[in-house]
Amino acid sequence: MSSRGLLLAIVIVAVMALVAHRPALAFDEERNFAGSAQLDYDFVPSEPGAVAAPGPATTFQGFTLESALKVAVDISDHLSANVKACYGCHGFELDMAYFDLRAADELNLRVGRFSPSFGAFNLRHDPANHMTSDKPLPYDMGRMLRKGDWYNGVLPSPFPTNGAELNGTHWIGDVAQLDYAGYVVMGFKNDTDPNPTDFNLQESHLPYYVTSDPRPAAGSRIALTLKAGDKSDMTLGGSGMFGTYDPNNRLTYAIVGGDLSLRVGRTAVRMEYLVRRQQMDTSNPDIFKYAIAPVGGDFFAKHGAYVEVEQPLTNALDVLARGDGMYRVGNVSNAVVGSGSDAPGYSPLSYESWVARETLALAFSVERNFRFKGSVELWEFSYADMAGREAELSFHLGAVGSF
Amino acid sequence: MRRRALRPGISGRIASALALGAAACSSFYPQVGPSQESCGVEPLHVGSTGGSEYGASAGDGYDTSGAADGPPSDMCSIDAGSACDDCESKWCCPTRLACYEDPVCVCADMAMDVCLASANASPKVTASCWASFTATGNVEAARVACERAWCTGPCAIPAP
Repeated sequence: MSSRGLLLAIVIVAVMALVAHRPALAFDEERNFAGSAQLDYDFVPSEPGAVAAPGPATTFQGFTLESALKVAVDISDHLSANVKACYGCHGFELDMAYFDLRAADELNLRVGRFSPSFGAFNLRHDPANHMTSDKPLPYDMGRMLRKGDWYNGVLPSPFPTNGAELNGTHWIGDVAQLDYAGYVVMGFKNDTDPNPTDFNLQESHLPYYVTSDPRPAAGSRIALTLKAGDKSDMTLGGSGMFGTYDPNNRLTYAIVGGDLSLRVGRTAVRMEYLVRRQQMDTSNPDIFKYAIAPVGGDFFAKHGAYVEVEQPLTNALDVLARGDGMYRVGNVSNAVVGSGSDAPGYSPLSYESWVARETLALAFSVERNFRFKGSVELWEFSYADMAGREAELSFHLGAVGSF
Repeated sequence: MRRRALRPGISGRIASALALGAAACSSFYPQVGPSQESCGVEPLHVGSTGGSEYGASAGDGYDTSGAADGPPSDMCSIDAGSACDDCESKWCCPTRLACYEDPVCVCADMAMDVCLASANASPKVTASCWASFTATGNVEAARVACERAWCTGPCAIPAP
């Protein structure tokens, strides 16, 4: 048994021993049923032909629905279970199916299917938990313009996967809170392409939740929250994830990120930065736009960041301003990810490409758990589309409810 | 007067930190060679709809069998002007078309023509031209494999 496996086994035994040692208390099993749904209309005035061929290569214009139903069961003081099913752009998905075995606030073992702890936005990825209709670009999963060029964000959210996570929270008096998490999970994969150059995210969404990449990915997160009072706090976090994504466990990816959230009164300021370094299979050089450099030529780096300020104007109306973007550097594959072939295509990206977006959003609460969302987004790209456009506008209008 | 040198421990740590920082930066900054699509030659079918997310034809040109049962095409007519072209058109149409459909291969093909023209029948340079083209990728390698199987004589392909 490897040292990592031994360590995991020791931790699991320790948690079970701690739980077993505690005297059982009378406990009524408690169930909570929750859900949310968002209907959004995305309007892109540029005619579809100007963006590219209409369809998945560009963006999901028109109506999209994201909905989720969740059941949380507290089975005992130390054991709880969560199951969440959602419906989105690619059909039904099991977002959560896990047990939490809690020995103490500082020691909780999570096993099953879940999104591992990474970054700050992951906690707010449900559309009922953020004010915009779409996600920040580093976490985009198909709502961005020209998504076929970029193949989504740095770490498309949510990213449910199978595995185990150890996490906990330690309070340092009343002024500080330390959160940590460490996990081993199935991670991302591309079992389809003969020469993988990126994750095949479709493989993570199909009901076929296994992989021919037998080695798990590992990662961790640590965050420190400082409280300056009841109405002000600041959280600083760092996350990392490392794994392989091809069937031969040869091609690595590493994702690291940092986040800072600040809340002063009713104003919230959030910022995050992520970068993904990903190796590509360069054994077939002619799928690439550029000749393969002998040193440092087998990977790309995709950076992403966002800054947003959220301010309630009244009890019912919130405004949010957001600036976000991505920067990709490295060789570009012309083969289409997930096509299962090296058929020649065309990517408009170059060695260095970037996209920036500025968003102004309003959210109006009609009822406590129901609000309308509207936003305008200005997009800027480092490259022109077929119509020569480097800037575009898009508009979102949607409604979201939760219970 | 003896000069006090920096303690090796401190200078070593600074150097290590700088080296570590440089390594961290370079490990997130990839390198690339020259563009393989900058020759100005448009590949066949680019822009048509054929199941590719980027809008290009998928084609079937990766078949390395080299049989002469490929799709009829003007690019494979037996009046290409040279014995080599005629032979390839007759026997290796699929791999020839696959190359012309590939944005990288079509440029590598042009580079090879330039290379062969400048070789002045030098066996060494000619061999280098063929080797360079073959090493560009799978499409190029498949094309050469078929030519080598059927057209070694007409195309004067050097031994590998």
